[in-house]
Amino acid sequence: MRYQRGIVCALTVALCLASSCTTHSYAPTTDAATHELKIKGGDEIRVVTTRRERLSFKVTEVRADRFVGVTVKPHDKERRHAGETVEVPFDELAVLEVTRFEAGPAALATAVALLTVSAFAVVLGPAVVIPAMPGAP
Amino acid sequence: MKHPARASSAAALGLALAACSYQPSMQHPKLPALVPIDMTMDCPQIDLAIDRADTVRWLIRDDGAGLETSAHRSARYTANFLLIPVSVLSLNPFYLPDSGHAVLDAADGRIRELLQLKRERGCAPRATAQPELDDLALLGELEAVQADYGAGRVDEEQMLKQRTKLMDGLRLVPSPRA
Repeated sequence: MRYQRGIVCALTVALCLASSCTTHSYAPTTDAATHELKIKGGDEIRVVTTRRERLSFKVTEVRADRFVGVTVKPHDKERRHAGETVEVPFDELAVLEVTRFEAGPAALATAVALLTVSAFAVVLGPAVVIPAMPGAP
Repeated sequence: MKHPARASSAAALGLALAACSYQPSMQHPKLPALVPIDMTMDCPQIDLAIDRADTVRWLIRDDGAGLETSAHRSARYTANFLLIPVSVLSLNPFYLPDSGHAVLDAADGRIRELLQLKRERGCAPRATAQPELDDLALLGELEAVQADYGAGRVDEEQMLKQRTKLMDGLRLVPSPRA
């Protein structure tokens, strides 16, 4: 029973986390606006530069005036292969897209999922909501 | 009665094809109009802002976007008014999206405002991809096209085509970094 609950909880949490990864696209107009996006080492971003180059890379360092990173598997219309070191000065940055986990929606989704499961458990009984697995003690 | 029906079918087909040709490779940001703080920019900052806005516009165009006339927009709204309930009832929700008009029009608007600001500041013009036309002269052409449309000398479709052609050739792009 303990394992079944663990599995259900893990699945619920995984679902909630998956639903809270959001992709945002920005067109920063100044270096300060780029800093405000709070991109940090480890973030994977897609950018388009004013030289009309599309890049996807993992940020390894954020300097005062540029991003440094290593390209990842290219998306459509990107020319650079994975594994190249790139530097993108902020003044060449026109579009920046980042996918992030957002804590607020995640907490809300988790709360809604848990409340729903609890409500069903109260009304129908735990055995219906968390069915016994074959061979479980 | 036959002809309006054919025209509607052709318009619907055209809309569907336009919507299909627009496939965003990434989310397209909708550029804002200029705000008071933007009016404090100096000439190099204005040129940089134009480069950035033009890049966003290029991305949108490269992904297949185009401007739609108000007639096309009305036809799309009407089609969606019928399509959405029917598709929802058949458990296959579907609608006709715009062909990138909203984001492209916003980018065009910002670039035009930046060029006007550049002209007001007396900044030096820059060459464009259009032969014998610098960016401030291109702004003059854009304004002339708009004035022709306002005076009824050209229809909306022609005006949008000319505007798109001018805007597409705004900038000489440096080659990518090695």
